Amino acid sequence: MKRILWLVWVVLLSFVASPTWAQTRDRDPLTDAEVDQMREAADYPNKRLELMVHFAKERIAMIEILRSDPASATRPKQIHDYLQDFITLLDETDDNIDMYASHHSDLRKGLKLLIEANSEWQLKLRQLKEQSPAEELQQYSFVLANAVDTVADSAKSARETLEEQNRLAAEKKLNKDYSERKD
Amino acid sequence: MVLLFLLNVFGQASGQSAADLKARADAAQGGERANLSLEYAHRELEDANNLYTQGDVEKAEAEIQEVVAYSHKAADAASSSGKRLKQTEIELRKLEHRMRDIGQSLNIDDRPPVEKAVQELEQVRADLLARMFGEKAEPKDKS
Repeated sequence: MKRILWLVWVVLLSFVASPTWAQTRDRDPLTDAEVDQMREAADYPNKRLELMVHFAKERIAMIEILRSDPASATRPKQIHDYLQDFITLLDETDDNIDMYASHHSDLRKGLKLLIEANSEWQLKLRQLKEQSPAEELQQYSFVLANAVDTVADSAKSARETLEEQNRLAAEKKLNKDYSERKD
Repeated sequence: MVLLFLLNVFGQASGQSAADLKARADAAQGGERANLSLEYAHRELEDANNLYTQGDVEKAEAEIQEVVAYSHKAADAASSSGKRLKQTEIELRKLEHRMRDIGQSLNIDDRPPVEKAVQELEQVRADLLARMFGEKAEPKDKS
């Protein structure tokens, strides 16, 4: 009986630990703790943008840590996944900007942070492309190209929104307090 | 048994096969599903090109059908979630151009399935544009 239980345990463990099983689960680019922080910042647009920029920076930092480690068989896939998470976070950031901007909430501080971060990310993604070994790059070149385009789109959109916000601020039409918005 | 376990954990961990990518695309949602489906479609198209070069036309045509199927999935995921619409349209156009180039490099007899697939990709893209900009939207580049 003990032997059967042990066999069942090994088979189950083998299944759960397999990369295929891990890959087919629906992934969330944010951890539970990050989701909590986002939720708490929902009424504070600048704080929320600051958090999202911070989370996106962490994904890029993780890629840099991976690159500084000795090469491993799993590294290209890990870099691929961090890039995909980074893209999803930037998409979410843009959606948040659209939502807050539609309520004329004052986002200028957060937008400035995002614009600065976009310049930094453009540089780091270019370095990743130029410095990755060819056989590794092949495995994440598609998602890397997407990330580069996403950063460029995000930078353009953030600059346009900031211009619009500056215009609204001059006309005193920006809301400082999102929780007191008129829906 | 222990050996099986270790092979499963470490053996599959290296790189990311097309099958892994397909499984991940199927499991993902929204913009991520659109992205992964397109990445898989691009990879399948290059595999099809290699198979045509090797003379394995039957397998190559099956890969071409995968490209069309996952282009549909990408467009559906983008339009139903409203995420990565523009990027999906751009990537579909790249796929279409690459597939047309591959088709033109083939023997006359092998071209029809690829030409049909190119037309299907055009339609997927036209439908996506229509969902983005309204029914009057058409692909700007049909060359």
